[in-house]
Amino acid sequence: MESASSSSSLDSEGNQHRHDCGRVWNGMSMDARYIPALRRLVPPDHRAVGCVRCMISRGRKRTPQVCVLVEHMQEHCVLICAEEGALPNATLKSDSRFPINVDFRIDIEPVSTVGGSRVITANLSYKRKKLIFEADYDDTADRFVKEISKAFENSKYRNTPASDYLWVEVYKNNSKFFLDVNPEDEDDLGEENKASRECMVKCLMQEREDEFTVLNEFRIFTGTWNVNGMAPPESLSEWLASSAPNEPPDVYAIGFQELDLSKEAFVFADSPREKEWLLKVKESLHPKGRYKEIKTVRLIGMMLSVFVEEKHAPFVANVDCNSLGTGILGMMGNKGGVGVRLDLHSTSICFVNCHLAAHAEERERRNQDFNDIRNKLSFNQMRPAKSVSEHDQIYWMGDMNYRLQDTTKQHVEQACANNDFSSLWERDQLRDQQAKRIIFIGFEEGPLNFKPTYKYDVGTNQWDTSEKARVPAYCDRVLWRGNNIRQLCYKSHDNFVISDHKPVLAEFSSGIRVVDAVKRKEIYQELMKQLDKEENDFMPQVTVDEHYLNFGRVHFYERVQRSFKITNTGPVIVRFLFKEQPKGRRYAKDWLKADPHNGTLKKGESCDITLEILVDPASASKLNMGEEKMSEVLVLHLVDGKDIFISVDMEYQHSCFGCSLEALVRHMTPIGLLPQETLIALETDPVKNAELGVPFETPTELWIIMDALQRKGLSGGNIFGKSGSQVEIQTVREALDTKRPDGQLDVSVHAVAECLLLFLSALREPVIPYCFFKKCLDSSVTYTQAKSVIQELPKVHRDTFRYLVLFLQELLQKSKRLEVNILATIFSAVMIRPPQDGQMTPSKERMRSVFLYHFLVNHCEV
Amino acid sequence: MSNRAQGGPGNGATAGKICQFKLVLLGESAVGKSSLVLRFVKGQFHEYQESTIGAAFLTQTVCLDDTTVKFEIWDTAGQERYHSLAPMYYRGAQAAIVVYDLTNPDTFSRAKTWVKELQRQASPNIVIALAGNKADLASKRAVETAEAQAYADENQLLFMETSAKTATNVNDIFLAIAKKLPKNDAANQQGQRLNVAQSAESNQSGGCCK
Ligand SMILES: Nc1nc2c(ncn2[C@@H]2O[C@H](COP(=O)(O)OP(=O)(O)OP(=O)(O)O)[C@@H](O)[C@H]2O)c(=O)[nH]1
Ligand SMILES: [Mg+2]
Repeated sequence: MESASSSSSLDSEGNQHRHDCGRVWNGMSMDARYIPALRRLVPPDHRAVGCVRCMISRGRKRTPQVCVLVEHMQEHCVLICAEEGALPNATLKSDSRFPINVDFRIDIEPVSTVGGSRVITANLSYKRKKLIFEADYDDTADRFVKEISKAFENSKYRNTPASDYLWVEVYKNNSKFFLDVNPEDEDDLGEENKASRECMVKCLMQEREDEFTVLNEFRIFTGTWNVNGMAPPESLSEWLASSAPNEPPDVYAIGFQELDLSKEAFVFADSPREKEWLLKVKESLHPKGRYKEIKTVRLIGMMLSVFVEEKHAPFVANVDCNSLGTGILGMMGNKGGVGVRLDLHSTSICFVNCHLAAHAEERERRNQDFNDIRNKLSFNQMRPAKSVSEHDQIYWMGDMNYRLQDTTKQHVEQACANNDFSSLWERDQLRDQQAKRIIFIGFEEGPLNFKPTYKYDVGTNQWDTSEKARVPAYCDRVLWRGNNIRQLCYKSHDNFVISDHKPVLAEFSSGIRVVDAVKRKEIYQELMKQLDKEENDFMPQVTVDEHYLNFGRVHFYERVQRSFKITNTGPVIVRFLFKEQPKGRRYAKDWLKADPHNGTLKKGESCDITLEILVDPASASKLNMGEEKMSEVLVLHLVDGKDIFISVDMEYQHSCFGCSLEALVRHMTPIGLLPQETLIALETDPVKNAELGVPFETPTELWIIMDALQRKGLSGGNIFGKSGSQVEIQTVREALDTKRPDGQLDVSVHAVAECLLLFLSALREPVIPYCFFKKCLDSSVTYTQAKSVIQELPKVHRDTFRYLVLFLQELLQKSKRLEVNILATIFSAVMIRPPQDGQMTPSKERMRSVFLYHFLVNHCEV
Repeated sequence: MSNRAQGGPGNGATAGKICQFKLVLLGESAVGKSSLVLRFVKGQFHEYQESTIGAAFLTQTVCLDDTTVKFEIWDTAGQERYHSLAPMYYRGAQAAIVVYDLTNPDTFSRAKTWVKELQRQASPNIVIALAGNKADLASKRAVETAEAQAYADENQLLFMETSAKTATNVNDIFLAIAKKLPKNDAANQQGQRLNVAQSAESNQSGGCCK
């Protein structure tokens, strides 16, 4: 209790300033150079508590930023901002937000010394977002970090329900302009943009509200009466229907105190008095008006009822009410306040009825009660919750209990007799405390041109004749705050004698903003147009210097590169990537690669993108057969923007790499010299379209490779230990595809060895055909089983297999440096390949290697 | 000391919802897709409009009586070599404008194949509009209005003859699509809805924008 009240007085101090100048700048944790920027960043009803320049590290990224702590209705949020432009004219753009609620953590590390200067470090996190804050250690930075941890501590003990921090959304607006490339935030980006459009529309419409609303005069009638627990009199018309006969009020707000002094009213929510009085009020409203009850709220003896003329009812929205006790534990007391809020057309209105602490000497207590109600009474059905002060118009009535001080009953009676009320006003505690800016800051009150309303002998119009002979006082008051409010009348009614108080009324002519629907639509459309324009103008834009790249003729395993330039010509940073193709395909066919295939470009920046074609064994046979188009369209996508097509064309020179054994053994002419159609025919039906009536046992190409290896010598260490150069491999390929060399290939043994492996792995159907793959693994346990699989192979496959095994055995004999299991692994990988959809696993790899191993260590009998 | 900035539009009558829809333009090269978009979004026309090599992206909002429709417009490349990429753009689209050049009958046939492809491959409730563009070139007309209208009726397409050059029917065709798009919750599962009314209500006056 103690700590709560002290913190609330702190708040009230803060709020006082808030109404003076819009926001409070707490000098201690604020780098004053940023005040102009903060004025632009922080809306009027938020408060910047602190601000420092710092280094922020996210993952490996470390950037200089500005960290701001903002507050709204006792909730806090840390903003990480980018600084644009130079001080003092810099602008702050928030790029991430850390609301200080249950998902927030702060961890302050001991001050450390880095390179001679002292640094304060803190780890901040919010849900999955994490960052490290570092700032040069000084008083400001120290206080700033402490403010954050204080806010965090307070957030744990806040007794009002936490809002969903929607108020933070306003800082998201500039996300479009500051692209946060922090990957953790990436998924939010799209959502954020949408939210920001929605938010911006609302915000901008509100800014221009003046243009599409007109002020209409509404009569608002407020009344307050402490009824001393009595039953209602015959009629209240004299009080409630006292406006001009033909001018019924548009709105009534009637407040009672001590409506029910029974014990039941303290203990139970129910009060029979409530119904009695309410009924009487309804009967006594202005006879020319038809009223709808909007809301009635009661806390023990305090009741507040709001009515509007029926014709206005459709324009009332967002009605909410709440109450706040200020007695012991905030609940048992009969003191406190009740409030009703509503939007009437476009004006938000809050009515408060209060009953503050009694007794002349309890002035401080009353001040405290007032400020508690003012700060803590909030309307929680609103999103976000709304405080009393967040309304365009506030009408505050009640038994305030402030007394006349430094005067006597005689003097008061004398003054009243002379109608010299003004001499009483300067002795009024409420006016005094208000002038000292302790209570009712920003509120107005009309002249009290009526007699004090307390304390009368019940049943009379006589002031207290008891022994106490209290000095009369203006306990019962109505004050207001807001624009366009004119008080028409402020008076009391002597003729009601049931209570020791007299009823008071205050009538107002208030300007209510009414929307001009046609104008509003015009402005809305204009706004949409403007937002569309902004959105379109801030779309990422790039130019590319080539839309079409022709690679010309490309050969098997020939690496060819072309590049194009992409330049950011737009107004924003660009992120680009190559989009996946339809049907979930990679961004390009397997033989095409882009480097880089994604990246970021600052304004005006360019970057070269290299496209590389490499037709490897996996693509060779499809291209040979014309099964895959030799062109591709890459989709270069700009994040949040358009797509650009980059067309790639090539002409693939078909090759013996990628043919089938069946085709290869049935022709004489080198494959490269055949027209592609002939090759396709040969592949489609090798027997029918054969060049040779009697096929070779194994392909000529394979024989040439083996022969070259033999000639170059197999004994020189591991011939598979190095790879050949690009040029050498092309030399071998060219030889195999276009002429029948006599074995004199002018390349290293390693190049020929590599070609052997490429040749085997490019075969359209592997040496062990795909359909035997599974059987092969299943039969890898014993040599006998393995042999039986080979027996089943088609002849050319069996012959080729034998040919290879004999070659490998010879190789093992000649080269002491080659180990049999390594050789088995290398060759099984190219000879025993899984079908297209088959997955390889380490154990499958081991099994196929074992399969081949049997043949290498045993006498070959197939 | 005004708190006006927070005074929200209360029950402001036009605080309608914003519905966001993806719209794609399809049609043979040079029929005027980009020109229609340029006219609609920026109110401009270029005699020499570069052929689109990619898919241009722009947004434009249309205000109806009770709702606001925000179009995310994808203007695709009409050249035949890019045909295979079209599904990337009409996939997930709630609306399509298939454009032909009414001075060129081939483009009308091509438009029909686009319609067929959309009917087969695009989402089933896609709203399709057929635009006979270059209506200003009346003397060179090669596709009769009645013929196109009959085809459109048969296939339940919106149909208008437009001119990006003179602006005839350009806003109208987008507006007609906006009106035809389903905006109620049940029917509009793909259309992403930004319900301003709802959030204005729950945030009351001001919401996140104070
Ligand atoms: N007379 C006339 N010319 C038009 C009209 N619309 C477009 N054009 C012209 O037709 C040509 C092609 O227009 P684009 O808008 O580039 O055509 P597109 O359909 O986008 O073509 P791609 O981007 O290649 O698919 C340009 O020269 C335009 O100026 C029109 O309504 N009337
Ligand atoms: Mg175009």
